[in-house]
Amino acid sequence: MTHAEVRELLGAYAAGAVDAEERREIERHLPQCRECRDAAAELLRAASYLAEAVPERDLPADLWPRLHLMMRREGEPGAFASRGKRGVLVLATLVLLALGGGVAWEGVQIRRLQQEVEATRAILLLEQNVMSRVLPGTTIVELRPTAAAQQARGIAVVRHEDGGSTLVLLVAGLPPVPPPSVYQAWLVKDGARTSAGVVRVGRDGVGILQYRVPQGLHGYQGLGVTREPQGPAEAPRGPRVLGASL
Amino acid sequence: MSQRPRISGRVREREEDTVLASRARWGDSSAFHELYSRYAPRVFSLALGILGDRFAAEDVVQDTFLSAWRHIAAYESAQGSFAVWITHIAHNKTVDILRRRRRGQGHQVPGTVEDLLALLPDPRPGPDQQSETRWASERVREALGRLPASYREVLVLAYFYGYTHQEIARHTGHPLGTVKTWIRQGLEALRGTLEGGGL
Repeated sequence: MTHAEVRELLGAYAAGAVDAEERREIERHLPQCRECRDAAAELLRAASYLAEAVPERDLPADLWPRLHLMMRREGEPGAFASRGKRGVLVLATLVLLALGGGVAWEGVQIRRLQQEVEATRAILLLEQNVMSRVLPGTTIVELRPTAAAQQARGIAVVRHEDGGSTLVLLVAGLPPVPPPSVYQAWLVKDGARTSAGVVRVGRDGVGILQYRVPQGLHGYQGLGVTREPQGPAEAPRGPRVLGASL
Repeated sequence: MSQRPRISGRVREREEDTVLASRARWGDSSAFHELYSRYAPRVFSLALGILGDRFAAEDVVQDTFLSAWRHIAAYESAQGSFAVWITHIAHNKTVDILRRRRRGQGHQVPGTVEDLLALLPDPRPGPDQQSETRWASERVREALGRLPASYREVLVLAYFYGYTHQEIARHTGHPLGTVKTWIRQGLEALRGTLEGGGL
């Protein structure tokens, strides 16, 4: 199906008026086409209003237990499931330790078990959405993996102070790369990429980077991590493995 | 059942959904349960309204949320709210059931669009309806009623009766290209009316 054919069918797709083959073809096209993806998002929002025309009825109470059982049989969602909560707890701990300052980065991984105790408290703070009160002027962004590294996850913590910004980037699930390859972080502003440095990733796939932006991160639109096959580069040449909008 | 707030609350609710979906992606089933509590009633009601069968509607709820759990990593909040994403999954599953049933019953020509709308469940308050969702239901029906008849017809045939654009063209005698255009323009007009009206 061509781009024009998909465009013509997006309304029908949103309203559920395409057949199964057309639906599959459109859903194959959408990840590759920003224009169609944006148009589809608008039309799907419109179509979702139609669902509200049907008056809401109470749900049978026993549905959730049955569903929950099926979910448990399936295991945790997503490719990160095997690391699951342990991964996020470690990351959350690192975030707090990093923002607390005075952390010897080299020592962080050695103290992992000890940190997981702290992490339990940290993730609770995150879950209760009180991070902003505990650490004012802090923004947390989750980085999403690309097809080049589907196991990867990342969290970026930005602390704004004294007119500047400090970025702490924590990644997990990145496969080790042989030298001279490195993982490199980039800040995106108006389409231009500025290196934020090399992310040192250990054999366990966990890596960390701290980067100071004296003028602050205002105006930067994105953050990404690439795998650079020739070592640190002045502009990204390798595949993007993680990315987020700022 | 969670009661969904009107207008200004929707933005806050969407932000909360994004956080919950993010937690669910990391394997947090309690966050997923909260999303289920918020949206399963809508999924159930939509499937029940279209299929008219409680058991089939329960299956749609289970299939929809199990599918969402499996594919939560694919959900992108930048591309739309969780509510829109889950509703789209549920609607596709509902329509698939409807079409399988229809295949077994042979080809049926639908009645007028007014007849079809009348077959949907009564929007008047039932014992288990929250006033908020009843209000939303009435607003959407009003907006549908204000659309040009051509748009209303194709949207109702597509969304509530699961007809494809080709089937709608055959049933109504309108050219295929016109049907596709009307569906798209009908959705845009509906959104314009409802969002302009602050739903």
